[in-house]
Amino acid sequence: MAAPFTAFDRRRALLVHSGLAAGALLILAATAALQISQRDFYRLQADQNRIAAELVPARRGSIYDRHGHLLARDRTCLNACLLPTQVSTATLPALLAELERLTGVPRARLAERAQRAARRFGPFAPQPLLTDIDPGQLARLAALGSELPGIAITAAYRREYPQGESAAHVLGYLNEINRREYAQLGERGYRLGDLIGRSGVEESAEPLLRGSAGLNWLEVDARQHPVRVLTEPAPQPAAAGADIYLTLDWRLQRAAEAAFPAGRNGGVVAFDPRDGAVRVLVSRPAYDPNVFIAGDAERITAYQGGAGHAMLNRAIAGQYPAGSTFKIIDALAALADPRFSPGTRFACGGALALGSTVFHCWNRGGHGSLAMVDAIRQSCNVYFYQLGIKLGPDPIAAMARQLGLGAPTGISLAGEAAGLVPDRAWKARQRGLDPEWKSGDSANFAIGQGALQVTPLQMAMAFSAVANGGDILRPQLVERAVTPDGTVTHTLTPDRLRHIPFSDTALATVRAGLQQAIIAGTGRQAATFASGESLEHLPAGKTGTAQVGDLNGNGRIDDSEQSHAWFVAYWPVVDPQLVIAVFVEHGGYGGAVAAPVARQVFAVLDRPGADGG
Amino acid sequence: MAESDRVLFAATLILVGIGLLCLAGSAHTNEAYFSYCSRQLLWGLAGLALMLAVSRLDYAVWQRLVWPLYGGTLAALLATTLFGATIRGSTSWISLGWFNVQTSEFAKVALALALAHAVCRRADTEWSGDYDRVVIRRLGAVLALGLPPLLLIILQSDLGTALTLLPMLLLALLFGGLPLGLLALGLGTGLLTVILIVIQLLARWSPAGHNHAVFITRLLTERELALPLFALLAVAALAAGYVGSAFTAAPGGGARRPQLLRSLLLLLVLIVLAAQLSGICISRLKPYQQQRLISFIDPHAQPLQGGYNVLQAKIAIGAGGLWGRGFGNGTQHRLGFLPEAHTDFIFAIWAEEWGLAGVVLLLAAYGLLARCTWRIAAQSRDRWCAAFTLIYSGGLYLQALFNLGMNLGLLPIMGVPLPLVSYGGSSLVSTLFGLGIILAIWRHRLAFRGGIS
Repeated sequence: MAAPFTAFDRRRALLVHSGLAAGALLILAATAALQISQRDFYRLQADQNRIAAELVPARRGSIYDRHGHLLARDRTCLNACLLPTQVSTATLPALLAELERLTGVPRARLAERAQRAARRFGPFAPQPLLTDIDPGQLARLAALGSELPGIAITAAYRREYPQGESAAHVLGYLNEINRREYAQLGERGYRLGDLIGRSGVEESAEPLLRGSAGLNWLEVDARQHPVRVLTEPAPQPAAAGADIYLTLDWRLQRAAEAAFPAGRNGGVVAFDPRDGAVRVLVSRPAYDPNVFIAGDAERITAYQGGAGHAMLNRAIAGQYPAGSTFKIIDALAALADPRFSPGTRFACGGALALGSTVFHCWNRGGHGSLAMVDAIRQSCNVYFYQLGIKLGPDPIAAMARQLGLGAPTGISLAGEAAGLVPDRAWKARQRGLDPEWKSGDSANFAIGQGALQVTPLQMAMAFSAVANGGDILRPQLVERAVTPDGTVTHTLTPDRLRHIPFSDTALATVRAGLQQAIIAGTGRQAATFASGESLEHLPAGKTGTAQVGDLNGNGRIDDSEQSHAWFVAYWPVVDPQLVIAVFVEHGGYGGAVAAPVARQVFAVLDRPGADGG
Repeated sequence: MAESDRVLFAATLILVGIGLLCLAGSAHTNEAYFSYCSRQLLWGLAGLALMLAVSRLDYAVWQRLVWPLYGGTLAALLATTLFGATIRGSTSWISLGWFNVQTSEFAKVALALALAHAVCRRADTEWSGDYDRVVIRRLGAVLALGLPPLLLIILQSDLGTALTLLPMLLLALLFGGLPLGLLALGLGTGLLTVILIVIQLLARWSPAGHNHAVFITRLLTERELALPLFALLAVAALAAGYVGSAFTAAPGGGARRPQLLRSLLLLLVLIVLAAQLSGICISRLKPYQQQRLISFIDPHAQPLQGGYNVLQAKIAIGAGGLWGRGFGNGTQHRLGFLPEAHTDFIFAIWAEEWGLAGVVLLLAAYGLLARCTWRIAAQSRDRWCAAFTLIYSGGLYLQALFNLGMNLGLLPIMGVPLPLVSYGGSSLVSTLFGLGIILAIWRHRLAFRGGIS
């Protein structure tokens, strides 16, 4: 018979159970430490495990012309996205092969897109493989949906420019922010892969257009699969961006684009001289902003690196000699000097000899003796050579600067050029040039040649002061911004930069010269068919033919060395509503090439019932 | 006072119920858990029926069947080792038609039966003869019985189950009269071995691995690492000192003078032994096991590999708070952040969903169980009954502590399930079977016996 539980056994059992009790107490203490004192810490960690933010994209605002004609918008599109959390590396090749079969996009391309998206959005985010899929693709993908696990069709916004190349330089384009920019833009709510306006209004009105993305809080499981949408924390709805109504007038823009000589480079800009509202802005060659959205690398490279410099907005950033359009600035400068009057006459014999150099008039036969109005009408070079030499460069340069030349106008587009207005001091500063300002310099300067460089917008601005009696207004592009709830957050207010106190005589003389140039001078091509005799339908303007010289030095003027054609005008003569500058690079004679473009624009304004206000 | 068998049964039901609640919480959202829960329910019902049936049976049956059972178990373990199915790296399962049996779980019961036999034989003569010789023979028997199944299970790469057999061996040694000094020496050697393994692994895996001087300086100067290290070294030294004195003491009294020289010599032996053992262990440890040990020291070193389970389990437990996140509402578990949650990390589910309140209930249930088994042992009819009850139940409690310590990051991950709670038919049924024998011991404590050899 075995002995029952002995005292020895009791001691040993006590020892064992004491050890067990101590262990249990340790466990209890450790659990309590985690669950009581560190509860909040661990609950936060648990939430960080399970809560993932899903971005709800914001619709970017649309862009319209002043009458509501659509120029740019975000439309909804469907993307086929790879859900990396539902696809293993083993099943991915088969999935991509199936997608290739369904859509015809090579699997290598799809894999590359997936990798790019993974680098950009992180390893768990949906990776767009096919953007903007068409209904046919959608049907094929949906029909096989159950056999394509890991592919989700998601809705997104896609920027669209229904007018293609039209007004491209006004609208600008979008592309993705890069990592370097993300470092700065990140704190303003941008994420890698977001689109941002790169030029034009898309860039300058970016803060208005962008809106703000919303957030949905998702509960995800350990494999990052979304399980449900959480209501706590509360989701942040996306706020669409504001719609922008431009000052641009689509009819005028189309007319200018259609009339611009095909295949030529150049720019057209027109604005209302009463408030600075830009109605037309054309630059050629143009680009199609849709190409940047589609990511067509070949065409983007052609735009950005091509010989035509399509990205350059020639209307505001192209710098050229002003040619004869500059002559009104000579006249305005002269009439501010008591030595000159409208009756000041100079004789033209077809040329003027200064030292050993002979400066020609375009009319080799000569204009005879001319007063100022006729000199402007005939665009007589010899008259203005003499006026310029007598006046000296500095008053002319001062007047040019007053009128907006030599500095950016302040239009809200990036990349505007300043141009160059030379004077005595400028020449003295130049290395490699004779520091002394010669009468030949004055002669060249007076006809808008030499070192002078202007942009089409600056010339339009100079003419607008003549049209409106001396006001220099900052050209503006945005008429109003309207938020999605209908609130108008921005309306155009004229921004008068300065006023030039022209004498009535000066204004009357120059206006008469510009008017005569249209009726009976160099600008006849700009007269509208319907203009008749009435001043209410008649433009006033000045042609220019800026010589570029023998650029390649082969001793003759090639086609690529043809003169630049200018025409700057306002319309109508009475109460001008529009000032326009047309510039055609190497276009030939301004009267023949540039003036007809303006005429087509005026014709639209002149049409009965057209809204000119 | 409630009858011990009723309380034991109630505590068992609570623990099985806790396990079912953990599995049921996500049964309606997770197909796998629906299957786990329904299987566990079936096994639980079958196991409880078995438990009640066994409790009606005279425990003398098991005394008679000890050797066939033990031999059969060894054969089954051997068969499993040779032909078993490998699940999650361990070859512990043998296929029986539509379900797999983890033979090592049943081996625990058979081993406890055999160990009880080894410990209680010649009990009536134990104090009359030469104490040391009896004890040594008995301890030899314990080791001779314990080591074969242990080795077979280690060969199955099932370190967790092997580790749950060790406490039973230890308890058998204790109840067999192991001097506490030797126990301390053994524990000291074991602890020191683990420390040396960890240090060597850290040195091997850490960036400073090639510069041991730098690494050891870091180890000793970083408070978090140095404190437990010194504490454990001190324990080992104390143990050696105690051994030094205990060996000189006679059981019946006499001088208990510590002998300094002998203590120091033993300490030296201990260190050399530990160093040798750690070398052997490191060469045997698989890379994932090495990772686990490193993650235990520094879970954040590899938060997505070795340290992941413990980090996520601690998050689950901590997020549970005082009252828990509610039935089926633990996000860590529901959303799959707790791998192996239904087996080894089921405590994390329970703590997440039922909070500290639930943990107290769980510990209380184990406490009740322990109180009952002690009472049953104390009132048992013979020493075999007492020994079996204490060895088997003590093994369960130590296994539970291992599992809880592992869940809380206090012990390295070793793949030990929580008895009665963790999902697993073999574990549940075998545990209920073992508890059934203990109930039988209680029920038949007063029965007349014609004498047993």
